Parts: sequence; C-alpha cells; structure tokens
Amino acid sequence: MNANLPPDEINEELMTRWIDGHLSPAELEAVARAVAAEPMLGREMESAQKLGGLLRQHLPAGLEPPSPEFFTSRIMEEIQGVPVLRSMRPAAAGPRGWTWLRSSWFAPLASAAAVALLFLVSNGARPGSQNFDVARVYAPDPNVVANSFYSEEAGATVIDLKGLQAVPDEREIRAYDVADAEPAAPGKPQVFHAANDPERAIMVLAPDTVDGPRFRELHQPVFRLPF
Amino acid sequence: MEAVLTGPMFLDAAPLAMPEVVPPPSDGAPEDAELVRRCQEGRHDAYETLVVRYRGRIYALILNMTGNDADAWDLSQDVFLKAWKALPRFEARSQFFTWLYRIAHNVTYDWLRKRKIGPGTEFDDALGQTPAAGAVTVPQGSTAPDDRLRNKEVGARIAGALKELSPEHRAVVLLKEVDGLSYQEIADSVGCTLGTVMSRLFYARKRLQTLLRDLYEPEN
Repeated sequence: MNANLPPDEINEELMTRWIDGHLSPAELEAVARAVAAEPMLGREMESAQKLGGLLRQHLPAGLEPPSPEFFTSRIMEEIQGVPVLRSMRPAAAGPRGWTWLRSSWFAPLASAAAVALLFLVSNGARPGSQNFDVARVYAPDPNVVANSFYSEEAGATVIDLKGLQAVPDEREIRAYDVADAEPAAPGKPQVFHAANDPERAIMVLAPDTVDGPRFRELHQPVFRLPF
Repeated sequence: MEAVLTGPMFLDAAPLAMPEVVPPPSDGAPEDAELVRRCQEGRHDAYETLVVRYRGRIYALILNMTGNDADAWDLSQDVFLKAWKALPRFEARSQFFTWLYRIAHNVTYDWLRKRKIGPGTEFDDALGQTPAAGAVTVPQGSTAPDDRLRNKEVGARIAGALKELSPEHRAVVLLKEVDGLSYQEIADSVGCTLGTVMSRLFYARKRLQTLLRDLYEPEN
C-alpha cells in the first residue's frame, strides 16, 4: 500500500472496502491522507454508509411469508409426490388467482372464522358427482381440524370443520351457491354458474398447461366478509 | 474467504450494524451441514427444518428484488423445490445458505428477465398493492400514524430507486447491505468474481446515493 495514496488512486475496490470497514490499518492511514487532500472523498464515504443504514432500516433481511405453515406444508407435500396446485394465476397481467388467500384480510379471516381453503383437483368432474374430488383441505387455524368426504346421501363432497369459533352475528357472510357447471372436457375449462342466476358464471376451473388445474375467480371471493 | 480487517472506522463513522446472516440454531436443531446430509439420505423432516429456517430470508430477499409479495411467495416456493431436487448434487463446497441464495438469485433473475423488467419499467401491475418496504419492517402498533406514513413513503422511494438498478446490481447491493453477506458469499451467491462484486456494489451505491440522498442527508 502506498503510504501517500493520491486521491485519484482510491479506486472502486478500495472505496468499497473502505465503506464496508474492510481496510487494513495501513490502508486506513493512507486513505486518511488522501482524504486530507480531497475532503469530498470522506463525504462520499459517509454518504454511502448512511445509505446502507437507510436500506437496512427499511428493507427486511428476514420476513416470514404470509401463511408460513402453509408455505412449508405445500413444499413438503410437493417433494413427497402429493399432487398440489402449482400455479393458479390467471393469464396476463391481471390480478392473480388465489392472491386473495395471501392478502392482508385473510389472516383475520382465518383466525376468526377458520375458513377452510379448498383445493379442487378437477379430473373431468363436476360438483355433485362421484368424481368430484377434494385433494386437500387446509385450515390455516391450527385449532381447526378439517376433513372432507363424499356423501352418497347428499350426493356431494362434504367439508367437515371441527374447532371453529362462533361467527359474530354482525358479520355478514355471503356465499355463492354453485348449482350448475358445464360438463368438463379434456383440456377445456369448466365453468360454474350461480344457483340463483344460471346465466351468471362465477368460477372457472381450467386445466393448467403443465400439471394442474387453474382456478379463476370471475367476480368475488366465495366468502365475502366486511373487513 | 476474504480477509476481514477490523480497525477504527475512519472519520468517526458509526460502526456498521450488519445483520447476522445465519444465526446458529437456537432450538437445538442440527446445523445446516448435518441437515443437508440427512436430506441427501432422503429425510424429508430434515428438509422441513431447513425450509423453516430459511423461508423468511429467501422470501424477504425475493420480495426486495421483485417488489411484489405474491410473486415473492411463489418464487420462494420454486426456490425450495429446486433446491430439494438439486440437493443430491450439493457437495458442500460452499455453505448451504449461499447455495440456496444462488438458487434464489437464479430463479428471481430468470423471472425478472422473462418479465423484461429494466430501468424505468414498472415491475408489476400489483406493485401498488404491495406493502411498502418501510411498512413491512415497522410494527404497526408501535408507531404513530405520521411515522407510518413517513415509513411508507420512504419505503416506496427505496423500492423505486432499486427498480432503477439492473437485477445484477440490485442483487449485490441487497445481499451486502440488507443480508450482510461478505464479498465472497455474494460472489458465490450470484456466480461472479470478487472484483465484479465490488464493482457492482460501487456503482449500485453511487446510483442509489444519487436517488436517495435527500432521505438521509436532508440538509443537502
């Protein structure tokens, strides 16, 4: 290290190591002499350190993803070969399908009502038939146990939730009653219609081009709570 | 490993408060190397421990890179799935977390490239819906409304400035300033030389200083 380092020899590498506190004592002394000749160097170094402080203050180095248990369980199921839905995003730049599951209102929804999330694997099936298959029922609240089974008597798949907290009377819950769906065909989307308005399509299950069905919500979430 | 030389900071600058990248397991869980060995024997439970240990860092890294929480969630999933598939080939020449960061970098970089995101280009239509960086890190219950608003504004400024950088420069400055990686760890994570790391870091800082200086030096 040159003991009389000219200011113009403080190159990118030296400046970077200086900002990050990685200079040797000898290098520090040489830099100090260079700064004495060119004070702007010192101000730039201080500015870069303040920038680092600003970034560390406002950007997270670690941040749990939304629904962290679901995040992990989804990976574990995937690597164990259990079929899960890989991607349910609608095409192009519109809002993503299922993004609402990770949105800010979902956490209170989960803790208050423990709404089960249903992941429907479409095997060319329709609700109300023997082929209707619920691959997985996920309840984000650990106090809630969710199971599903097919009821011959009801002719429907039943979701059984144990451990739900009572929903306050003042909370408005609206749900669509899906009464009809177009017959599924290989490679074709299946459209579901509202019971009270058969002309109104409210949900589409579309086969993904790769390996799973894709959900697209046309209007509103099935559950709509006044948060 | 690079030599980290300590000494008195020049010009009485405050010591850098670098976050600890990988704190030792506090729950009695095995170290990464042991968990990796078990994973390579096909032990899923070991991988679950690694996912829980690193999901927050990977998610935050990708969130800072993309600026969108939904994309960060999906891309983080991809990272851990790719890592599991690649684990049989992991030879422990680098630390597990830098190897994982490298997968995260590649996944994110590929995604950004496909989205053709560049300087001055909007990241995502949903960007405005993403919590600003400052709003994420500041507990909402402990700050006054004015402070939260200020944090949100600063977070948006930072996110906008990061968008002005190329993905390569953005990754390097985030890995250094936010994740606290050493130069060598950054080089391992992004797959370049030490010299390239320092060069990218130098220019990324210069650009961000230009864009954000008024936030930390209001007198200027």
